[in-house]
Amino acid sequence: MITETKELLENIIKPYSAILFLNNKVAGILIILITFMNYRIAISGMIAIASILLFAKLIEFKSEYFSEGFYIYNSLLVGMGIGFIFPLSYISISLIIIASIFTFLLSFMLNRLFSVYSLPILSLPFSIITILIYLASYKYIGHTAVTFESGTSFYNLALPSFLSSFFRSVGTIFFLPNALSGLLLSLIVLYFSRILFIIMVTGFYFGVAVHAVFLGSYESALLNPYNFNYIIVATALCGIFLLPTIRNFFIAMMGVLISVVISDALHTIFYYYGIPVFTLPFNMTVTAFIFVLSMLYYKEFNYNIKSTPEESLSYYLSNIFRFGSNQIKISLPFSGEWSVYQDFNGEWTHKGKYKYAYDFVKTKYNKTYKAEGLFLTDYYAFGESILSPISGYVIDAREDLSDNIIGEVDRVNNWGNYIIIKSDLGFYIEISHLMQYSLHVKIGDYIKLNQIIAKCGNSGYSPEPHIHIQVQEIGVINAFTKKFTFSEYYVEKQLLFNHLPKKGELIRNVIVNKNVHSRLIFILDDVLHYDIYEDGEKRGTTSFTVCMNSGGEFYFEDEKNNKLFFYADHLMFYFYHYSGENSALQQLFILAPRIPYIHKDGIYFTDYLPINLLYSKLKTMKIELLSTVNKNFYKIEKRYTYNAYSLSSDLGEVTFSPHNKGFQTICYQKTKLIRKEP
Amino acid sequence: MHTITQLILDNNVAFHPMMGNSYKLNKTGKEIIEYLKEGQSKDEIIKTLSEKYEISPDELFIDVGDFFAKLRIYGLQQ
Amino acid sequence: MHYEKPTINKIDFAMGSKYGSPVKTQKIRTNIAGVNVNDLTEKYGSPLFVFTEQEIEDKYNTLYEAFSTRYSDVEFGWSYKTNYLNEICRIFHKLGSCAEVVSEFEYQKARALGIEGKDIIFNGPYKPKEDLKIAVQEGAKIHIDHLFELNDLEEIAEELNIQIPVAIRVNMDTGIYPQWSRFGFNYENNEALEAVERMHQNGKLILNGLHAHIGTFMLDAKAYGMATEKLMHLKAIIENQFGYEIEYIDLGGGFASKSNLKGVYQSSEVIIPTADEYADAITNAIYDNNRSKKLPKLYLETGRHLIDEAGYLLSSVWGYKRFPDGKKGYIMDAGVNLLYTSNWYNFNIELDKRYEGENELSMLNGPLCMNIDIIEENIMLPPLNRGTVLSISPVGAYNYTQSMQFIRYKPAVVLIDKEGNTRVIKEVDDLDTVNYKEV
Repeated sequence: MITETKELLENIIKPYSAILFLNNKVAGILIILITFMNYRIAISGMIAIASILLFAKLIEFKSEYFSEGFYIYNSLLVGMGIGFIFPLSYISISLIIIASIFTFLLSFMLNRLFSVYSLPILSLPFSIITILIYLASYKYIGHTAVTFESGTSFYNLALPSFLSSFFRSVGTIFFLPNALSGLLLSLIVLYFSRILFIIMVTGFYFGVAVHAVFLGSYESALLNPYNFNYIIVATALCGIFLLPTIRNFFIAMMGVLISVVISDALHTIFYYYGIPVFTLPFNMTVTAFIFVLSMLYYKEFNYNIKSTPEESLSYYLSNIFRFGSNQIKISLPFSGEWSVYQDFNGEWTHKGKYKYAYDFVKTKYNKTYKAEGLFLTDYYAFGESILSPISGYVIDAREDLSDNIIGEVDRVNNWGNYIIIKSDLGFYIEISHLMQYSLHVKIGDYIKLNQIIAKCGNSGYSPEPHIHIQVQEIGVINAFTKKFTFSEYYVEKQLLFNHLPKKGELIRNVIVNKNVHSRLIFILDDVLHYDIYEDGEKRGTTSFTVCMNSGGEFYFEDEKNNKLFFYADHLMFYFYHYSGENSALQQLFILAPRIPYIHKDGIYFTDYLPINLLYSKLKTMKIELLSTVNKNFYKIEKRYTYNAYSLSSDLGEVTFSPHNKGFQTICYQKTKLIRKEP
Repeated sequence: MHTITQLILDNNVAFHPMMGNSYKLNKTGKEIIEYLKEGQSKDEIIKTLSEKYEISPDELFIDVGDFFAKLRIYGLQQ
Repeated sequence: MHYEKPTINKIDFAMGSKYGSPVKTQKIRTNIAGVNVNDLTEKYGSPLFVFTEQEIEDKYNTLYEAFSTRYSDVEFGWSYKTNYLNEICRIFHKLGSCAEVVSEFEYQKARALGIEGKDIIFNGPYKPKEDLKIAVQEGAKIHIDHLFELNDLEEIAEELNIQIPVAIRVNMDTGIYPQWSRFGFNYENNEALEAVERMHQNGKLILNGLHAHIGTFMLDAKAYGMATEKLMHLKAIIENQFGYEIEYIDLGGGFASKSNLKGVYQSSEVIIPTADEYADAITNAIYDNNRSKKLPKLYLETGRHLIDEAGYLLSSVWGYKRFPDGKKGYIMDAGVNLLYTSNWYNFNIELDKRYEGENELSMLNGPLCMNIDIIEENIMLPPLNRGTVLSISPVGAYNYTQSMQFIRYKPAVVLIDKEGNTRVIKEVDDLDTVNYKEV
């Protein structure tokens, strides 16, 4: 019952903030209050929402769909649009109900069509329906003429026109074309997202400036009632659907220019019928950009839209710095210390469509062979185990070719004996030049990461024993290669993540230790209890409980409801998000942002910390803003030293026990948490 | 002796036309074959080589004897 | 003028080989770990055993890493019977090994090197009671082979009025032939379980470990997986039934080295498993079959795999003959008296420099006047001189410890350390050595 009411309230409040591309309940409530500046708008909006919620119940529409706000905010906008020209009456209310239900249906239909191309419907249904309503309403009684200049002068404030026109445009988005509403809305935006605010302002003035040149009149450009399109085009293309970066800023401005022209073109046609163009320029421009950019897999497309552009950017940068973004990641196919013989674009054979490949050899004292290197058995790589770089199914393999003697190569069967594995994640890996009859597995077997699958040989086009590895889009021999990176490996004592070694570099593979892995497997309702010591004196206790949210994400929660989100994949355990106040849980993130499943002493690695955990709110805001210009501002590196049972840095230390799951002690500054049994 | 005289020498390879076999010789081996074709005896050959290369006759006795043993095995000598 | 020994070789067009032309290719080794082999024999005599510390360390580190990255609690016990030269044992102890011994003599050797009883694993079917008692008192890990030994230990426990922590050796079917079923207690027919029950009843001995040593020169890593699985099953049953806590399991030795087995065509690189394969098989089996809260400590008693490739035997040509069948026979100063394992393995024979002339079919014989003294029956070698030094490898495992005091004095042993310095770790025997214990 409580959840139902909660859901209901959310469905009412969220659409208001969604119109401004924010996803915040407080913002929504404030905006609702602002709409009451024109009670007709406010109430019409409410009626619209109520109609579709009831309608949804009638047709038993799943409430999960409403989590995608566009079903509701389109109807909300329609409602407000009707309220703008109709005084409240039975006619207007019926129109609102009819229109909002129709909008709902149209939203659903359009979404089905658009989603084929991964496009959002934005506010297209609203534009279409409201135009229809306005057209129809010429025949109906009771409506007032559409003027975007209406609104009491009381709300207009005594501002110079270049400022008040901006605020008026902002207000127009909510059918409140007056400076006060715009000012309040802008303040709300400024509070929740500096980036959004800056883009709104830039988009508006840039559009107006260019329009002024075309029109030949600065005044007319400022007073153009459709300027709000520039605001929403700019924010959509730099902050919401595209990440807030410099490149996207230029794209957004280009979008604004396009919408200037479209706006004028549409206005010329619509003027004939006396209807406004609403958000059609915005819809047309933004949809076109999104369509093309998403088809091209544009790098700075925002695939994970969060509640503010700052959060989206943080998520994106974190993903790049901490987790190597969405590249294909594999492990190394050997154990012990090997050297890179050829890397990507290697001069000898890694060229053209075959450039994304690596060749590895085993060296000792800088040579790949002992004695004179005349015999196969002189080569250190010959006979060494090949380990699987991923988990997956063996889909093709060959082992009948003999190993060439030194001095001969097989140019007919370039790849020699090989194995092709299909990763659980969908891509294919091919490993070449295997030793004759050395396969430990057969086609159809499921193999696990690090499993020994064959021996290194000298078959195929191979002048000396080496391992050749490449990633392919399809699982046939001779297919073209695809770019990838190595998830982790050691160079001396340093553990590198998502890196590519260079030619001649000496590297070692990381073998996953099952014991360490099992100590970091947490299940729901596991509790870790700690005694807290400050300056050596016991000050209290705390406990971390493992919980899961509705999105299936796991987190540790303490008594004060601070949440530390974690994830564990096949290679390591890591924290990726924290919400709450300063606490030991928060420190845990900083002290142990990731824990690889390895058992080795004296290893060190670098991780990048989320800035909001390290700095004050103000500094965080500043850095978030600077990161739009240069992502390196966001890179806060920390070096961690990993020993078999401890992870330490200059911020503190976390220790582990060989017999217990989780963290044994957590130490930072003067505080020390020591694990205790319940 | 008969068979030795029938050997045809071409660079470092000796070919026996009747038996159809080829033999690889090194420099000294070729020399000895040539001396044998001239009709020198084992002792004579040892003396010639000893003077030419300044190696003791005792050492040459072993080496030439070894060479002759191979000739016997190949049926080129009795 | 330049003199070459005369050679004549029939040209045989049909001859072919897997790894290079048989008449031209020469395997040459001018130095061991940077030290010239001729310098070695000049300085220290011939024949000469040579060990390199770097190779020992590399092999040890590779094997240890293969295990320790996969399994957190692992320790190696150096198998003394493989090579009990003090300096060699010292190297392994310095690297972190404890000692594994199979007789009182090896036990005493370990103690004399300063190894404490608790760091000695005492295996073997023949443990005289007095020595067993000393081992108990010094805290050694005793792995019981049979019930008579069990009785002896219970008597000792009685005499010393203590409870003794012990382990038992278990044999089982691991899918390979031959099954070493004459050591320890059998798993399949419950002999092992019955022995533990017996132990439990009398309460004088406390079982805290399980040991299995399944074979030697194992070519199949899966056999270890099976042995580990069965040991882990036994561990779970024992812990459940008798309440003992099995702290460790010992998988013994038997890992193969890059030695070429006689009668096997393929080279060792093709057939022997790598360190990773052994490590994978054993550690996976432990994880997959663990039923207790704690994972046991893993001991390994690797010998051959760690020392074989680090040992060379330098031997000089003394003379040669041409046999009636045409084969060249070389007389070397080292033979089966020093290379007992030549019964089962073909060694690498490497020349000290490039020799002129074509290869011919040769045989290498030792210094003994026994017809069986053959190191290599058929080998293609260029004509060698008196004094040519041949490097024979890998001989680090068993050859020294199994060498005979027969006809010849046992040779010196030299160690090349990591910096390239050489030193004698055992001098040549002399008459005193031979006569020492005669009355």
